[in-house]
Amino acid sequence: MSNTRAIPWLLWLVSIALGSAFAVTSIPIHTELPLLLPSSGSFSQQLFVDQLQSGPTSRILLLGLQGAEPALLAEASKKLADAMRSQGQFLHVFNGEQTKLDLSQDLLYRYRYLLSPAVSPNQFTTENLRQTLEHRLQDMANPLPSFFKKQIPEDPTGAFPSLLQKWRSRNTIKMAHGVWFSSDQPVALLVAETAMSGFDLDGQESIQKFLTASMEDIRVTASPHSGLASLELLRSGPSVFAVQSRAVIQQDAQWLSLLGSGIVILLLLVTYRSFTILLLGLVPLVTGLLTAGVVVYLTFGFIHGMTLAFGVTLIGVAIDYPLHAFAHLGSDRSPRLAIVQVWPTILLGATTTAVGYGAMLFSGFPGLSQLALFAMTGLLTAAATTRCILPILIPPQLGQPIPWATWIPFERVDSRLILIVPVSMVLSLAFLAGSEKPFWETDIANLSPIPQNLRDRDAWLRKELGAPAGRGMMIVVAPDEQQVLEQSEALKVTLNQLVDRGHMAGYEMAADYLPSIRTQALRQHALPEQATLRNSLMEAQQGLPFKPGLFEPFLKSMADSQHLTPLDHHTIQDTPFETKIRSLLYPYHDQWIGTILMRDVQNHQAIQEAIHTDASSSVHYLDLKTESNRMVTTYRQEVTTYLAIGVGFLILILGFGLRSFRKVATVLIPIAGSIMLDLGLLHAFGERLSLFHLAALLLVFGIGLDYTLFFQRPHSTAAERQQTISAIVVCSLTTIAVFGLLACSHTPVLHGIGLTVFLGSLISFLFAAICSPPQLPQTP
Amino acid sequence: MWGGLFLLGPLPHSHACKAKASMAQPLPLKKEQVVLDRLIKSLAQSTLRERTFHETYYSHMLTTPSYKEGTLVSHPPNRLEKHVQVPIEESFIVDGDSLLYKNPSREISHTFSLQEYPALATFIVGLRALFNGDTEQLRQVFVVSISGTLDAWELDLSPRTQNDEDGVDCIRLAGERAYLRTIVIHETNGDRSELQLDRQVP
Repeated sequence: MSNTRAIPWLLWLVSIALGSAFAVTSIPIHTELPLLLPSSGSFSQQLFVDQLQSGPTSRILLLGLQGAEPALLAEASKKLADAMRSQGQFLHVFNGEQTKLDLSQDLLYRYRYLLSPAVSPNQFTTENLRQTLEHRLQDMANPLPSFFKKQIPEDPTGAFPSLLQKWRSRNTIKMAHGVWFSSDQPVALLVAETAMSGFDLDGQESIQKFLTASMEDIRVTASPHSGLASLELLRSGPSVFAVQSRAVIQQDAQWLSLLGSGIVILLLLVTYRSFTILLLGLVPLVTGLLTAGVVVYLTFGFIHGMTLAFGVTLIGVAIDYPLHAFAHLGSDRSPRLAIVQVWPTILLGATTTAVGYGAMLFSGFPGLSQLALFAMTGLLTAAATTRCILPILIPPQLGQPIPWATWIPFERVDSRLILIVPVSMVLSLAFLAGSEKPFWETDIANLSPIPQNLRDRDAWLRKELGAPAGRGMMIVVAPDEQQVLEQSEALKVTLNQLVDRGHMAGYEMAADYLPSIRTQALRQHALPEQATLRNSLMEAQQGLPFKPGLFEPFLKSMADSQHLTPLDHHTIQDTPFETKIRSLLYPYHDQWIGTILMRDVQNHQAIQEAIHTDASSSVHYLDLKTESNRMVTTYRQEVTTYLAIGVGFLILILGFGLRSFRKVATVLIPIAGSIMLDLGLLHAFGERLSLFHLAALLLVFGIGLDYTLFFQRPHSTAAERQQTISAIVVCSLTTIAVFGLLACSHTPVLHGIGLTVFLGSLISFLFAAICSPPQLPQTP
Repeated sequence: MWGGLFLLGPLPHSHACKAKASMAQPLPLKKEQVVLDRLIKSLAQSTLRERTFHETYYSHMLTTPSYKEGTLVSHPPNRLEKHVQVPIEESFIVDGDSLLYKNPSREISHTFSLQEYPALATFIVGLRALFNGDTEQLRQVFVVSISGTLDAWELDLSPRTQNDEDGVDCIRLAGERAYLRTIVIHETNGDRSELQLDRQVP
C-alpha cells in the first residue's frame, strides 16, 4: 500500500474509530415504546402507552415452582420469596405465606374504623350491637386464630377482620404446606411486582438473572438427596416475555446475520479475489451507518432500538454502491474514472430512495421521522463516501472481477417477456382484491416470538393466581389524589353491577385500601359519642355472660378513632401499606391517576358502555389488547400515507434526474411490478402484512430502484454493460442470500422481513432485467 | 379417633399441665411406654365413628362458661366433623388441609386453610397421629405423658413448639380403655375447654 493511500486509509480508520467510540459511549439507545409515539396522541392513547409500559400489569411477575415433592416446593417457595423480598427490586412478593404486615398492620389496626368497609352508623345501635356480641360469644369457643380472639374486647364489631379480608383478596388460591399451590398440579405459585417498569428490558433482564441465581442457591444449599435436583422455576408475565422476545430475536438475528455475512464475504471473495475489495466494500456502509447514528443523535438526543434495527436494514442497500463501482475497475481505467462512470446512477438511486424515505420525516410519529432521518443520512453518506473517499482508497491494481453477466444470457432475453411485468401486476392486484384472507395483521400477539405453549402457560398461571389478565383496566384521572379516590369510590356502584352481571369477576382499586379522606371522615362522623355507645353497649350486654368492663378497650379505641387524622399518601409513606397503594395510585404529570384492575373480563363492550353512561371523561376504560392493536394499525396507516407521499416526491426527483416521462415510467414499472408481485406472493403464502413487512417493502423499493437504474443506464460498450450487469448480479445474490436466510427464522418479525426482501429482491432483479433495453444503446 | 375435636374445640391451654409435661420428659418409664403403646393402639382400633358431645368453655372474658352440644363424626384418616346443635347450628369440617366452617344462621360458609393457622395445623397433624396410632409422629408434635392404668388413664399432650403467644398450653385426655371420655384443652391465656363424650352412639 503506497503512502498516498496509507494516509487517507489511516484518516478514515481513525475517524471511524473515534466516531464508533463516541457512538458506543455517548449515544443512548432507548427501547421504550412511548418514544415512538406521537406526543400529540390523545390523552387516552398516552395513558394506554404509559400503562402498557409502566402500569402495574406490566410489572407483574408470575412464578411457579415444580419438579419436587410439594413439601419441598413449599420450602423452595419460601426461600425464593425471602430472597426476592430482601433483594429490594420488588414492590411486593406474595406466595401465600402470612406476610408480616407489622408496621402497616399496626397502622391498619389503629385506623380500622376509618378504613374498614364494614363500618356503618347503624352498626352501633343497641339492637345490632346485641347481635354482634352474640356472634362473638359463639366465636369465642371456636378454633379462631387466637389473634382474633384476643381482639374481641377491642374490636367486637369485627372491623379489623373484614379489613384484613380485603388485603388478602387472593385467599381463594389453594394452600398447601403454608404456601400457594396450583389447584390441580404440584406447582407452588408466587406473584410479584417489580419496582421498575416491565419494559425496562435491561433491568428486567437483571431480575431474571437474579431469579436464576436464587434458584441455583436453593438447589446448591439443599442437600444432594433432598429431591430438589430437578426443581424448576416457571416464569411468566409481560416483562419475562419482553426479555425473552428480545433474546430470541437477538439470537436469531445474530446467527442468521453471521451466516449471511459469511455467504456475502465468500461471494465477494470469489467474485473479486481480493480482501482489499472486501474491506473497501464496507467503507461506504460503515461510514453511512455511523454518520446516520450521529446525525440522529444530534437531532433527537437518542436513538431508538427500532430505528437502529430497521435503519440498518434500509441502509443495507448501500453495500451495492461500491460493488457497482468495482465492476468497472479495469487495467485501462483508474479507480476514480470507474467510480465517476457509475456515479450518476448511484447518485440518482441514492437521492431518489432517500427522498422516498424522506417523506416520513414529516410524520407525527417520532419513530418514523427518526427512521427516515437515519436512512436518508446513511444512504446519502454512503453514496458520497463511494464517490469521494473510495477512489482515494482503492489501489490502482485490482484484478478483474468474475464476469457473472457473460454466463447469463441477458442479451438474448425475448423482448416479449416484458409483458410478464404488467400481467403479474394485474394478476396480483386481482388476486389481492379477490382474496378473502385478511390482508393486514391486526393482532400483534401474532408477531410475538413467544411460542404458543408459553402463552398458554401464562394464561394458566394468571388463572391460578387470579391475576388480572392484563386486558381490562380502568384509569381514573383527576387533579389530585383525593379526587381520584372519590371518583373511584363513586364508580363502585357501577363496577359492582358489572360483577353481578358476570361481565367481570372482580376488581381492585386503591380506594379499597385507602378510602378517600371524605369517606374516612364520613365514617368518623358515623361513630357514636362515648356516652351513647356506652349506654347501647350496656343494654346490648344484658343477659350475656361477658365480664363487666370487658369492652372498655373498645370504647377507648372508638374515642381514639374520632380524633385520628384521616390517612392519605403522605401518612402511609415508608410503610408496606404504601407499596400496595403506590401501584394503584400515583402522580402522572401534574395530575393523579388511579388504576382499577379487573379480573377475568368477559365483556369489554358492556364495561365500555357502563363507563360512558357515567358520562365522566375522567374515567377511561382501557382494553389493552385492543388498544395495542389499534396503535399498531395507526402506525401502519401512518407509514402507508407517508410512503405514498414519498413515492410522489420520488417520481418528481426521478423525472428531474432522467428528464423524460417515458424513462421515469420505464424505471417505475418494473419496481411497481415487483412490489405488487411481492405483495401477491406474500399473501398467497399466508403472510398477513404488518408494519415490519412495510418497512421491508421500503427496502425492496430501494433495491428495485437500484437494479433498474443500473440495468437501464446507458453504456458505451458491450463490455461495460456486462460489467454493470455483473455488479447487479453480485448485489442481488448477496441480498437474496442474506434475506433468504432471514426468511428461515422462526421469529415472526424476522421471517416477515426476510421473506419480503428475499422475494422482492429476486423479483426486482428479474423484472429489472427483462425491462432493460436488450439492444446496446448508443452513446449517452 | 376424636382428635379432630381439639381443633374443633377452642384453640388451646393451662399452665396446670405444663410443669407436668416437662417433668415427664425425656421419656416415660418403661411401664408407661407399654401402657401408652397399648392405649394408642386401642384408641386407633376403636370403631366408634359418631358420638355426641357436651362442651363447656371457661373464658377469662366471661362470667359464666359457655356451653355447646352436638355430634362428632370421624372418617379416618383425614376427615373430622364437629356439628354443633345447641345453642345454634354450626359445623366444622376438617378434611385434609382445609377447614370448612358453616353457620347457617349467619349465612357463613367459609373454607380456611389450616396452613394459615399454624397452631391449628400442628394439632391436626399431632392428633391424627394419635388416632391413627402413629406414636412416633405424635411424639414429634407433643411431649406425651401418661398416668393411671389402662382401665382409667390420663394422657397429657404438650405441644413441642408454641406457635402463638397464646396458643395451646396443653391437652389432657382421659378415659377408660378404648373409651375417650373427656378432652380438656388449656389455652395459654388461661381459658379452658372441657369436652365430654358420650359412650353411646347418638
